[in-house]
Amino acid sequence: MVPFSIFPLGDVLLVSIQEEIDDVSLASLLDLLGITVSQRRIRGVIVDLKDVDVVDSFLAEHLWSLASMLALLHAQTVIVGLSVPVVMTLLDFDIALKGVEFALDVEQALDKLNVSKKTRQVT
Amino acid sequence: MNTLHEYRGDEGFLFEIINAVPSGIFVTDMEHSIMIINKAAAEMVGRTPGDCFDRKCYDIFDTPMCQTDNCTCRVATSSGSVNKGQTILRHGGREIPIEYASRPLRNHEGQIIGCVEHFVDISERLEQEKLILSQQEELIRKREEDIRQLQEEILELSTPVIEVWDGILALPIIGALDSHRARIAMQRLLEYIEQTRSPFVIIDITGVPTVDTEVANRLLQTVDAVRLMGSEAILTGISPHIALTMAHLGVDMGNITVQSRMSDALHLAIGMLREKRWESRGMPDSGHEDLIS
Repeated sequence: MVPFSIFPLGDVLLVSIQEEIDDVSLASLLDLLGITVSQRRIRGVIVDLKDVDVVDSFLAEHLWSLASMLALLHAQTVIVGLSVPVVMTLLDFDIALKGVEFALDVEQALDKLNVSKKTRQVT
Repeated sequence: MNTLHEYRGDEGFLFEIINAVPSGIFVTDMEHSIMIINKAAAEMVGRTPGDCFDRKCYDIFDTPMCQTDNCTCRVATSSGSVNKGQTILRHGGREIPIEYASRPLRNHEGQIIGCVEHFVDISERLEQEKLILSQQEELIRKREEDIRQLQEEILELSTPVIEVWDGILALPIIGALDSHRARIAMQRLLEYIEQTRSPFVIIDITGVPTVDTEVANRLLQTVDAVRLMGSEAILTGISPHIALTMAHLGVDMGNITVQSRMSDALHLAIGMLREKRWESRGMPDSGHEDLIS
């Protein structure tokens, strides 16, 4: 069982990450997303972390790398599903996730992505 | 030279008196031989006065100071003044706490010829003191517990999270914001955001008197926390004084939305909510793709 799943929603990808994700799987997820995003002209990736109880600096760094990579591929990253204890821990350990967007749930994440689509269309 | 032996004159009467005293009295000469001893003293070690006459006091009584330089009789007779203290009398496997006073005995010429010792069994007194102490400690503990509870209640009351609109929460902060309070308030706020799925939070600091680096950081941390949850925080109620302080502190307010009054923040947030609703979700066209796994 691969500890992640990718669900396409048109030009947006919904990625769900499982608790036990390891270094190797995370690396291959990033590779896969990079390829998929550029091949399919994906403009947004929603990463759902509701099944992850512990977000440590290891995972946080990878998420930050992902966001940076996707930005260079003209796609936006939105993270959803952070629980209150996870947020408190991230703040306690001063783990910054700058340049990453967050949303309350997948619905609101899609809203956010559509908003930026509009903004991008105007410019 | 007058010796002790000659003062035993009206023995009978004297003994009646000292035997009536409930605490221990005995008199020794300079060689620690017991010349006079009352009933109470003898009975404390399970004897009669008769058993003790002419015996050495250290044979009759056993304390840690016996036969050492600390022996109270030795100290009293060598210093010429009263020696008081507390010690333990060991007898029959038990340890009896006693309080004693030894006074040197002088003859008519002022020479020290012996020692008068008086001692009291203080075990009951010590027990009572212990009891009172433990009762006091219990009382103090209870009071501290009550105070702690009250403090918790005040914390709860003073940082309420209010749903001021559909999708908009307000957190008015009143009073000083110490780290414990900030943490509790932040946690409750995050839980509320999770529960109500509110996209906006208005944090109002009209009621915060002063802001130093610590408080400013806690506020920024709260704003960050709200962002990680997926909501947006709007800071309101910053007084000119606090604005100046924060500018001086070099606090980075780069990414934070600020409004002057809560009503302004409310207008802004309601406006943004309406905008979101007007926008069509815009479901992107999708061919049916297989799950990528």
